[in-house]
Amino acid sequence: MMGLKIETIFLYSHITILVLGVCCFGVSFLAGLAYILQQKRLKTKNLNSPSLPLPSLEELDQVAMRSIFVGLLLLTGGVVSGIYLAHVFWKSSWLSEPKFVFALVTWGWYLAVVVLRNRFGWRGIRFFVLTVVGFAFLLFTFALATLWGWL
Amino acid sequence: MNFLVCGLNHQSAPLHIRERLDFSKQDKRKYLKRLTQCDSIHAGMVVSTCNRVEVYASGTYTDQLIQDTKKFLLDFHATPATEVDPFLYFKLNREAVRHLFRVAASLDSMVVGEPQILGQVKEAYFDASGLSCIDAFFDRLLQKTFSVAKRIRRETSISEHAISVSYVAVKLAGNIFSTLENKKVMILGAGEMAELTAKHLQNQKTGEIFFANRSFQHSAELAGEYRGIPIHLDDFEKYLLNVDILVVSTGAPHYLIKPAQIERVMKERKQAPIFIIDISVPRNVDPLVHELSEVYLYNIDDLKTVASLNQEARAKEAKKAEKIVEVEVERFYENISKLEASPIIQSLQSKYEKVREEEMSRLEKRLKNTSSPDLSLIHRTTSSLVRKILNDPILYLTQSSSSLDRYKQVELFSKIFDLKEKPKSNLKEDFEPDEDD
Repeated sequence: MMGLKIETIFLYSHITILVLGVCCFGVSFLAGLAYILQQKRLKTKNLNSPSLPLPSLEELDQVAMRSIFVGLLLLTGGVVSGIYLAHVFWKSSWLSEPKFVFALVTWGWYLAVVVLRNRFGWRGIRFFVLTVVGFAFLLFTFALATLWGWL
Repeated sequence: MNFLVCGLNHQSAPLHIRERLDFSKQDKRKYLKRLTQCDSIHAGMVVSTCNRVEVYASGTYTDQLIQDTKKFLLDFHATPATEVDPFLYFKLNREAVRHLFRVAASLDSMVVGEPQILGQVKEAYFDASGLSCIDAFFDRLLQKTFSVAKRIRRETSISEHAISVSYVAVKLAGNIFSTLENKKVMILGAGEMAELTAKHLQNQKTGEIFFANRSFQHSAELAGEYRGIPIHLDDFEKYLLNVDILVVSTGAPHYLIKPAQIERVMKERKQAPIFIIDISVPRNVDPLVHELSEVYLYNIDDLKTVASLNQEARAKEAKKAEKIVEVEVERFYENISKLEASPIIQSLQSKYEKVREEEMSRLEKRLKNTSSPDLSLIHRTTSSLVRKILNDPILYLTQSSSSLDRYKQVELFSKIFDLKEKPKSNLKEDFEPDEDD
């Protein structure tokens, strides 16, 4: 009974952490879209189209960086708690679980994005394209994991 | 009560005429005194800027008001009527109120939407009110004017679109950087435009400003003026590594900055974005530079295009603002007519008019030998005296904020002045408050 209770707590924490992490990446995704739009305006020198107020490139960059950083921390927590859950409670071979593999790839992707940006100067549009693609991939992971659960 | 504006502006008169009728700030005591000393003018104020000279006045008799206001304007500047007649305009009542609203909201300005004019109208009002040259009507009108101008600023984006080239550059920088505070700026070359841009940028509290020029001495001079740092042209690329905004304005007849150079710099600055403003003609920065990632190059034509687009946007906003003005003029008159008709003010005025008439008839009996022009002068003086004495109490009565306050005030008024008119419970109808006041 006690064991089940801890397991439930673990499971809910695991899910909450992952959902928050995904939200963070979602924020970076939105910032990325806004960045691409704002940059297009500046590059085409057509500043009134679309005529919606957008934050500055610098602000969008900061928002994306911070949300990715927090997202990465949360994803790390999610993966670790997932491993623990699988190992201790479900005794399954978690390494072969596709959602674990996809989560790990997502984690690796965002880490690579941060390293590329900060270490190799992949700033601006390249950084944001990676961010947007990263989130699309993450959604795909989630969809697949859910599907796998059903099958 | 009639309200008049008499004057000329940048549309109606050339500069030399405007200069001729300009009122110098130092003479404010003199001209405001002289304006309100005119018999037919109850109250008045003068708005005098480089784009307009306008005398606002209120009085009872229309023809005399127009005549006296014009006479004041011409006499004060010792200018013959023939010289300025074709340029003068006169607007009365509704037209004049509309005009004042439009002026304060910067719809009548040379640069529509420029913000200084509201401050200038405010100053004119404070000058006049400081010298007791305004009455209750004027006071209410001006308060309304300021609230209309504020409403227009709030509900339209008439002042938001930058339309001077140097200011457009600053606004553009705001699309790239979250704040210009502490951003490093480099000015390459000299010239008026470069200086103007430097000034605009400095107003945004930017960080260090580097000045690079062919002559180091010139750089040092500019740097001294704008508290910047002069650098040698040879060190240009080294400093560029840390600069966020580069303003180029040299007299060189060819491209000084080429893509390869900026590409090298960008790699070293790890692609940190840079905003390059090339205001030189012919251009000094190769347009291909704009193709590089995280480099934003705008030349003088780009800035002008943005400015003209913004001008169109302002014109669109001005249309919205004109509609607001129309609505507000109607509302103002509605409230004024209610106020003028309010029983308490009428009974206050009629009571003291009666006192004045009684005293005058007694005086007339005693001054049998006085000529009729002298008597009429005494008449005018006494009625002006009564009006001025009652001005402050009426002003106080019209400025109360809530209907409860008004109720109490009317009660107090009735007691102090021993008026027959007692406060009614439906006072709210008499003094409809303005939403924006």
